[in-house]
Amino acid sequence: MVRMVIATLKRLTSGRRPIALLFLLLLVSLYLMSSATQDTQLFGELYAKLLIINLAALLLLLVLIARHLVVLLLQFRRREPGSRLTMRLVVIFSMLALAPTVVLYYFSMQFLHRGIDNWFEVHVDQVVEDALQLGRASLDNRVRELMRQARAAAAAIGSGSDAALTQQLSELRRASEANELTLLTTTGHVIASSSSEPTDIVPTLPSPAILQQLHQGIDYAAIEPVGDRGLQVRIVIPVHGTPLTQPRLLHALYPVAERQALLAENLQNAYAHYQQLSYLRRPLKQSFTLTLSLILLLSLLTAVLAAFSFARRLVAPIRDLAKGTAALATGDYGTRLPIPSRDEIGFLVRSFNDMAFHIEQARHTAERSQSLVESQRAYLEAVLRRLSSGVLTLDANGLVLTANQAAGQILALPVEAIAATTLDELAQQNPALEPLLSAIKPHLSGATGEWRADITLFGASGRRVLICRGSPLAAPGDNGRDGHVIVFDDITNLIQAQRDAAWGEVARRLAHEIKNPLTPIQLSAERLRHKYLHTLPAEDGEVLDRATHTIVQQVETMKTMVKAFSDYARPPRLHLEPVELNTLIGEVIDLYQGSPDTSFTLTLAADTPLIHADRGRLRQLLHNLIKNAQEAGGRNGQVEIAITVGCSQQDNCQSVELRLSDNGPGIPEALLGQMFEPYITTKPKGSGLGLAIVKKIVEEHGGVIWMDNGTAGGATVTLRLPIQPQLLGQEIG
Amino acid sequence: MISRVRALPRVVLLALLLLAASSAHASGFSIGEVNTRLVDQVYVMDANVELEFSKRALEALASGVPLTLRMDIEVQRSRNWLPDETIATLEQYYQLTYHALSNSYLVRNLNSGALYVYPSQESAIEALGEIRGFPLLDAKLIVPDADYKVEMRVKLDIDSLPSPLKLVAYVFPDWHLSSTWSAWSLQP
Repeated sequence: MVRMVIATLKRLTSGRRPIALLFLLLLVSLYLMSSATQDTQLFGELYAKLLIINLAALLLLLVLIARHLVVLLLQFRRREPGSRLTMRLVVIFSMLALAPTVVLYYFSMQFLHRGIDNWFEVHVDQVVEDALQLGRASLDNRVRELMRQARAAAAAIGSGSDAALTQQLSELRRASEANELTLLTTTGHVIASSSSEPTDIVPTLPSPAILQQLHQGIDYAAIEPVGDRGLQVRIVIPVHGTPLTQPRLLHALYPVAERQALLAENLQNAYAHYQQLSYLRRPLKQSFTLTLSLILLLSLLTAVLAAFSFARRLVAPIRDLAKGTAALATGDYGTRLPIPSRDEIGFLVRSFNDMAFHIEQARHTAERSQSLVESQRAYLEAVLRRLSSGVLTLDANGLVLTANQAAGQILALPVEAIAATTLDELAQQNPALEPLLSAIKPHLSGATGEWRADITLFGASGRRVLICRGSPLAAPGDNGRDGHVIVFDDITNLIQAQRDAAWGEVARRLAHEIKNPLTPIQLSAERLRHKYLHTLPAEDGEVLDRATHTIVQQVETMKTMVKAFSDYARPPRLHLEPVELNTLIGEVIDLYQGSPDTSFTLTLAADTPLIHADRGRLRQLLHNLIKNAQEAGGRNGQVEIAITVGCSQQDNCQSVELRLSDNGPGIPEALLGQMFEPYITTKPKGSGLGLAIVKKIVEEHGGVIWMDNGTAGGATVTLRLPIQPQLLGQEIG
Repeated sequence: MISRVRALPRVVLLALLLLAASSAHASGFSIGEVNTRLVDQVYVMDANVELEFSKRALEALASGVPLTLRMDIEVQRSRNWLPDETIATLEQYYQLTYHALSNSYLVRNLNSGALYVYPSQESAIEALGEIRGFPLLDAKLIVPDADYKVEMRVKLDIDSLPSPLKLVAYVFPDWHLSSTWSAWSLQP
C-alpha cells in the first residue's frame, strides 16, 4: 500500500507533464489571488483558500527541490557520471531564471509602491479634511439654532399628568420643526412621547452613554444618523420643572434640510471612503507585495524544479554515453544504449551503438581467428611431439624458432634451452654439437634447396650418428627472409644393430662350419702320431711329434676361438638378481692382486644402489675390461687402472655408472666409434672379441657403453647399467 | 555550521511563540458572565463580553474601516452515549463604524438592521460587549428533564474586511481576535 502510494507519488512528481500541470494550476491560482487582491467580490472569499493552496504548493516545490538537490549531491559525491554536468546545468538554468525575475520583481515593487503612494497626495488629504470641517461648521449652526428651540420647548413643559404631557408635547412638536419629542426620566424611561410619524409607536431613545453625559450636566446636541431616516439632529436636555417632580429629560429629534442632509451624507461617505482608502494603502501594498513575492517564489521554484528535470533529461543520454564508454573501455563490448531522441545527441548515441557493434564484431572475428591459429598450432605441436625425429625451425639468422621434444632428446638438451637461441650460441654452450651446427649453417642462406647429411657427434653419451635433412621454409617471421626446417634422426643404434646382427650371423656360421671339422682333424692328428710315432726313426718321429702336437694345439686354439664366437652369438640367458656392484668389483679385483705389473685405484661411492643384473655376466664384463686394459699396456710396463662407481646424476640415480680408465696409449680417433665391434683392436694380443662381448652384456642389461680418451692420456670406458633393467623381448632366467 | 543549522528551527519556533504570546497579551476577546432567563416563553441571554481590540484594529476603525463582529451561539441537548444534539444555531453580526461627520461611533446589528450611536469609541465597544435580553429560542423546543447547554464564541470577522486588508489580516496575528468557545447550561 505504502509502496503503491510512493510509486504513484514518484510517477506524479517525475516527468514533464505533472510539472507543467502543476505550473498551470499555480498560474490559475495566482491569477485568482491577484484578482482577489484587486477587490473583486467573487474571489474575495477564495482568498484565504488560495493563499493556503499557494503556500502548500510552495512547500511542495521546496520539498521536491530539496529531494532533487539531495539526490544530486549524493550522486556528485559518489562521482557518478553526469552528476557534474547536471549540477552545472541546474546552476546555469536557475541563474538564467533568477536574474531577470529578480530584476523584474525589484522594478515591479518600485512601481507598485510609488504608484500607490502617488494616488494619495498630501493636498487631497487636506481638502478632504477641510471639507469635513466645513460640513461640521455649517451643521453646527443648525444645531445651535435647534438647541434654542429645544430649550424653549423644555421651558414650556409643565408638570401635568402623562396624558396632558403627551398632548402638550404634541403641541410643542407641531409648533417646532421637531420630528419627535420625548420626555424621559433620567434613567431613560419614557414618560410621554410625540412623533410626526404615526407608525412610530416606540420612540427612538438616546443611548446610555448620552444619559451618562447628561448626568454630568452636559447637554447633548449632535447630528447623527438615526435608523433608516438618515441624518437627524438629536438634542437631549434636562427639563427644569417644579421641585416636587423628578428631574426629567427632553429628547428631541429634528430633521436636517433635505439638500443639506444629502450633501452631508455624501461628504461623510466620501470622507469615510477616502480615509479608508488612505488607511488601506499600507495593507494594499503589503498584499500586492505578498502576492508578487509569492508569484516570484513560485515561478522561481518551478523554474528551478524544471531546471532539475530539464538538466536530468538533457544529461541522461550523455550519462548513458559516459557509462557505455566506460563499459566499453573495460571490455564489455555488448553495451547498447537506448536512443533518446532524433537530435544530435540521438545521433551521437546511435554512432556509439554502431561503434560498439563493430568493435564487438571485430573482436569476435579476431577471437575466432586466434582460436583457429591456436588449434592449428596445438595440432602441429601434437604432431611434432609424437615424431621420433628431431625437428628444428630456424630463421635466416640461425635463430631457433621451434624445437620439438625429440630434438631435445637427440641433442641431449632441454627444449627450453634450444628454443629462442641462435645456432652460434648453441655451439658455444655445447661444443659437442659443433659438427651438426656447422653442417646446418651453410644451408641457411636457402640457396642449396633441400639437403641431406650424415653427421657424427661425440658427446657425453658417446659417439652418435645423426642423419640430417633440411629444407628452406616460407618465411615464418615478418622480415621477409626465408627460414629453414631441419629434421634429424639418431641412427647410431640402427647402424650398431645392423652391425651386431651381421656379426652375430658370422659368428653363428663360423661356429657351425668350423667347429664340426675341428674334432676329426684333432682326432686324425692324434691317431697319426699314435700309430706312426713308434714306427718312424727318431728324427722323423720327432718331426711327426712336433707336427701333430702343433695341429692339436692349433685345433685346440681354434676350438677356444669358436667357443668364444659361439658365446658371442649365443642368445643370452640372464639370471637377474640384486647385485652390489662395489662388492662384485672387490671380488674380481682380488683375483688380480697377485699380478705385479697391475695396480688399481678404486673410487666406489658408498651409496651406490643395488642393481638387478646377472652376476656371472657382470663378472665376465669386468674381467674383459681389466684384461683389455692390461693388454693395452701401461706406461713403462706398469698398468694403472682406475675404477669409479656411483649412481648416475644425469638421470636422477636411475642407473649406476662405472668408469674404468687406464694409463695406456689411448685409442686412435678414427677407431673410437668402432672399438666395440668384433675384431677391432689396437693391441698385438687378444681375440678382438673382448670389448664386443662387454658391449653385448651391457646391452643385454639395457645399459649403454662408450669409450673415449681421457684428458690425461689413456682410454676410459664408461658404462651405465639401469637399476631395474627393462629387457625387451629377452628372457629372464 | 551544523549546530547553527539545527538551531535555526528552534529559534524560529521561539520567535513565533513570543509573537503569539505578545499578541495574546495585548488583545483578544473573552466571554465573561453569562445568564439565561425565561421571558414570555422565550429563553433570553445576558452576557458580558470583554472586547480588547488590537491597536491595529482600532487604528483601522478610526480610519473608517468598518469592523464586523461575529457571534456564534449553539444550543445543544446533552445525550448519553450519543453526541450532543444541536437544537439551534445562531449567527449574529455586529458592525462597528466611525462616523466622521458627527465624530461618533455607530453600532449596527446586521441581522436586524438596528443602529445605535455612541459618542466615543470606548462607549461603543463597551455597549457592544453588553448583551442584554438576547432571544435564544422558544421554550416549546425545550424538553423538560433534559440537560441543555449553550455555547458561544465572539470573533472579529476577517472575511468582512475590505479585500486589501483581508490578506494582511490573515497573515498578521493582530487581526486574529476571537474568544474561545465557552459553554454554560441553559437555565430558565
